[in-house]
Amino acid sequence: MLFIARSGIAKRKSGSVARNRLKTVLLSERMDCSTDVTVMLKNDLVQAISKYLPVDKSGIQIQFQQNPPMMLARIPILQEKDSRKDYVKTV
Amino acid sequence: MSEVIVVTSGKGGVGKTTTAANIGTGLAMLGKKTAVVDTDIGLRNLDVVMGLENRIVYNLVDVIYGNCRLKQALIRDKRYSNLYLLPSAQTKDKTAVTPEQMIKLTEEMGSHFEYIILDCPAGIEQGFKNAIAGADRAIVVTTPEVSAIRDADRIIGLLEANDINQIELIINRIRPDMIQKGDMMSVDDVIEILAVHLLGIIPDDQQIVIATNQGVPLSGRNSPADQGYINICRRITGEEIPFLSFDMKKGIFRKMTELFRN
Repeated sequence: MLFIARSGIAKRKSGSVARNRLKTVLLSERMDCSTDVTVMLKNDLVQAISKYLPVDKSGIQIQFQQNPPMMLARIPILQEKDSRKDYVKTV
Repeated sequence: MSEVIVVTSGKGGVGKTTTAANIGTGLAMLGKKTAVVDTDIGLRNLDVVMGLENRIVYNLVDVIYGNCRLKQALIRDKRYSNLYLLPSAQTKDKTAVTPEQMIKLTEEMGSHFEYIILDCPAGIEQGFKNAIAGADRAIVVTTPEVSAIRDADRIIGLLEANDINQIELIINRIRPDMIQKGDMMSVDDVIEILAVHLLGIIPDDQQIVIATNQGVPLSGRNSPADQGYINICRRITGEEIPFLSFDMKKGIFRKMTELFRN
């Protein structure tokens, strides 16, 4: 599945790649939301969510999208191998 | 009634000077008394593109400082008697002139010309501020590349902040073959991203380089870019002209009904 998804990205035409990159960068620029602000926002989100869930800090992605204007945060959660055991324990 | 139009882009090298020269020529051909003004003080360009570099005596800074009268600095084009160039100074720099002085200059020119085309320097600093100060409307030139479009977006924001409300876009160096393959953003893509009124599209055209080498206008070459500029000039004067289409199967530049119109 992962392989299919990757080859799909590779086949995307460079014109539409350019369009999507521009949309993302211009949206944050128009909102005056600089890279620094995005980084601070990311750190705050990590802090807030880490209180409750283990977060994979290196995999976090923050994107802005037009129509409708939206901020999309992709925050992967770490799943430890023996998490089920812990779960049983706590029950 | 005169109209002052600034040609700007933010990014350098997208075709501002070529556009200013060709719009000036096109408007003069339509019978409009037109002046093109090189506002890039210290980096004179428009004169060589128009082939008038050997005829410069006085320049924009001389007029502003009162070293000469406006009429003495204006160079009349050899081919089109309606076309005049006000060249930039080569020895001074951008700080030699203030926005207030530019407003005064464009007001003075307004009583002599129907159209005044200001060729703006690249960037958003003093030179840009000078160029837009006296403008009634703006033409933003971009190419279908990420860097040029990003800068165009910033420029549009700055123009709006300076109360220039009539802002129109020219997309330069369109490559229909690359758009067809999906390797270049289309006209629709650029318009969607920048959300601005389209004034015209100019295909990538070798004739531009050849004409610039020779210091002659594009007009009369019947090339795709020439046609694009003619259409732009007619739209500036208020005519409704359909946009060029790039249908590769039916010959590249077949005219199409108002597909790109708002």
